[in-house]
Amino acid sequence: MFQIALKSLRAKWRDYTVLFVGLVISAAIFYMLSAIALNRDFLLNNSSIGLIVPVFMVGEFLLGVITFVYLNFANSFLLRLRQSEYGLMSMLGAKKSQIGDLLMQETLALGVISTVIGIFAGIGLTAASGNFLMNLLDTKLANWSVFSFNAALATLVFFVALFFINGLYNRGRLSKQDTLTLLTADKQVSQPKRHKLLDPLLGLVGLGLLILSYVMMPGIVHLGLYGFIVVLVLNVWGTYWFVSRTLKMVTYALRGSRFNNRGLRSFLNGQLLFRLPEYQRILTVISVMFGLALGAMSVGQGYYRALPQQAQSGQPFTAAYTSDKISTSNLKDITWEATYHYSVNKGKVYFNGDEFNEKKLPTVVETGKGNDTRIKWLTGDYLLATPGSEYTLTSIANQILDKQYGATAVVTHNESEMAVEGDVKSVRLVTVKSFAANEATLTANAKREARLTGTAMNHQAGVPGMFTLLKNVFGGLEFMGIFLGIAFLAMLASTLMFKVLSGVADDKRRYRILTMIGTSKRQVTATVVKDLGVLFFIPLVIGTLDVIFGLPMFKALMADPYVGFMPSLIAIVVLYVIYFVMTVILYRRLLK
Amino acid sequence: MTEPVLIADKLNKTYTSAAGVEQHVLKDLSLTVPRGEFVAIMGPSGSGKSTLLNILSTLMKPTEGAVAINNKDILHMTDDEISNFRGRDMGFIFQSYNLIESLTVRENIALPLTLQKAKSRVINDAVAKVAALLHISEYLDKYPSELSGGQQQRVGAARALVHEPALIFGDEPTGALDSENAREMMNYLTTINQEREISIVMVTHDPFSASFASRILFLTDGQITKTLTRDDRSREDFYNYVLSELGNFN
Ligand SMILES: Nc1ncnc2c1ncn2[C@@H]1O[C@H](COP(=O)(O)OP(=O)(O)OP(=O)(O)O)[C@@H](O)[C@H]1O
Ligand SMILES: [Mg+2]
Repeated sequence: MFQIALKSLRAKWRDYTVLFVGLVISAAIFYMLSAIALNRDFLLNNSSIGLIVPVFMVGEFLLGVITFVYLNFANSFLLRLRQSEYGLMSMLGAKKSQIGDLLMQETLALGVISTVIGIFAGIGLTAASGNFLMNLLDTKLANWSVFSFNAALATLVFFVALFFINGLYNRGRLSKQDTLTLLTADKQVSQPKRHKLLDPLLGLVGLGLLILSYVMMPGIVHLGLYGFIVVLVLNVWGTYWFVSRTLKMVTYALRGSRFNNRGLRSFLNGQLLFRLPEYQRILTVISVMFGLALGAMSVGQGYYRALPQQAQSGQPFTAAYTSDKISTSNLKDITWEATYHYSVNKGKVYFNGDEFNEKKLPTVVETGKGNDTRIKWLTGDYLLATPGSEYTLTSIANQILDKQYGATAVVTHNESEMAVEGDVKSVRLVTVKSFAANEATLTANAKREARLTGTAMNHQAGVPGMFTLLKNVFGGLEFMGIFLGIAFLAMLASTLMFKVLSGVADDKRRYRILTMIGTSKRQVTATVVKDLGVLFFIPLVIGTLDVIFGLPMFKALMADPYVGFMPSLIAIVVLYVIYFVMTVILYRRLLK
Repeated sequence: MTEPVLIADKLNKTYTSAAGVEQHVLKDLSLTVPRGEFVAIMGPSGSGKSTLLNILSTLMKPTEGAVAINNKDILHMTDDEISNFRGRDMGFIFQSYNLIESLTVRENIALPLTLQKAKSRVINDAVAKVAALLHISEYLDKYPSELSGGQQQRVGAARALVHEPALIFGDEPTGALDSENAREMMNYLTTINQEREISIVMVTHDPFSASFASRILFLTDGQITKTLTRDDRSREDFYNYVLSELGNFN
């Protein structure tokens, strides 16, 4: 028996490789996410939001559900690979229970081996993507650790348990089939039954559930964690019914129609119908994954993109330079620029009040409405009359004295009072319209200022210093968002690849028949594009919709949840299309 | 005789196994098929019949030699030309039925016509006609996996004939049929061969099926070692003649 198994392993090595690699990847990704989700210290230290722990828990839960479906799929693929052999054994006299035990052993062995390798791959993946992202985002995160015993254990236990359940399930299925069915399993078609009444009904109910979940999403904060889970279930369920029934109805409606009777359309339709049972589940899972990847990236990017704006809004000017060797001519859209004089004596910085009467000093004040602020322009007289109003000057003094905080700024009445205290020097203040548009120049200038005057960058007044500070605080969230996005994307890619490759052997034969009766290579490629296109692009549409309606959930956590949406969408769609083209090319090669 | 529809000149085919062992399967084999002729190829298992048929029908390239169909060198055609050629001028009936299991019988048969973007009505008429002749009308809306082996083979034949190609290739087209169905299939092939001048090249090990042809080539070790022609004999006479020659042959 063992010899037969080994033989078939050799004969179908390509299929087994696909299965094995797919399992390893999914375990690796599960580990990668767990390494973060189970690292409370890391999560709490790197985000100002306490909610981050449950968010990651939900992420982990979702990946768990996806993995469940994935493993189920992988195991039925395994069963399909082994079926005809089991049939052969049964024909040669093996007992059903013996074959069942064999299946169980094979499943568990495959599960344990692929999971262990997957965990190691996951450690590598976590290290690589973590370092890459930290470099990219230019941040260092506290409590970041690549190896996590808990994550490894969680992955192992979860996967082995799933394999066990799947093994039991497959064993049950196997025992219901007779020898002949097993022997000819390769050639059988399982057409989904058509229900004239139930299909449209469930499709509509699905659409209703989907819309309901969209309607509930913006108010999610008021619903709490349970609300979140309810919305999630509604969304996934709705997607499943809506997509599966609609696809089924459309495929059946086109069946035998005039439209279908042209070129390879009937073939395409047959392909779809043939795969419907699988597609119904897989399309839902891929849609959800696409939505999760896009959503995580959008939120992560959203924080990142909001940072320049946020850094700018709290600052009265963009930058202050005490070195006269720094040029401001490279800056775009300068809205205000002024030079003031000062002197330093015994740890205090003295300014000339007269100068502020001539050139008023911008100061950020609260409008009293929420957290809104506006700029108020102060004269020297006002500064003198209102102690405590000189905090703009304090931040400049911090920069001059190279301090994080605690410098003292003194406003004198006139130039001579200032000159008495020490040598008179000058500081130039500049404001630009957009920090983001000038980020590179401003950062270079700040570095130059640091080099020429010895003042550390984060002690400098203005936006670049604030930006550096904010990046340290919020960089973690951005990191997590993009990290989650990558995890889901990788899982998505692996699911798609698995789905596509696991069907290639059957398709190969079908496409060969087509070429035999006169289908050109170009027509075959066009058909492959359409065939795979369904698998790729339905989830793209649904996933994008999910995100468009889902982003308002983050209204409480960020000013504008949509800032990161377009860039993320473009990035993911570009990646996705490239992946699609690559898959088509690969598939085309495998069909030869 | 009329101009040849197929000319094969000094075909050689060598297979190289995964272990690097070479096997010379066809040896300088030449063959001419005049338009409208019905040729059967017989020979022991492993003599290279399927290999020859695959080469003649553009599915495989020879190691050496030339093949021309309708005076066109098929070995140097572009892919599109070959596809067009297969779609319009050729039909294949194979040893294994080569049906697409995700399509119904009707759709399988109609494929060559839908590929050429024929009108729905034309397709339906053609399918109905060929299905009636091959006695598979009642299975048109079933799937291949729901048919018997013989029924599947007839579906494969129907697909090869539905677009009335100029040249039909068959590899054991009656292999899975009982004698009654084999007779029907061969009668049908003979009819379209005579009425429409469709040329047929068929591989078979069955003398009964071969006796419907007008010429029988015997292949041994990759070479044609004997040729029988029917001339004015009736089919029954030819059958007996073939049987007696086969006795000598073996
Ligand atoms: N794809 C291949 N690769 C290597 N060797 C092959 C291949 N196809 C056929 N052969 C070998 O070439 C020889 C001729 O095979 P072919 O299929 O042409 O025989 P055949 O006359 O059709 O036999 P049968 O009556 O059994 O169908 C055989 O010895 C076979 O082993
Ligand atoms: Mg053969």
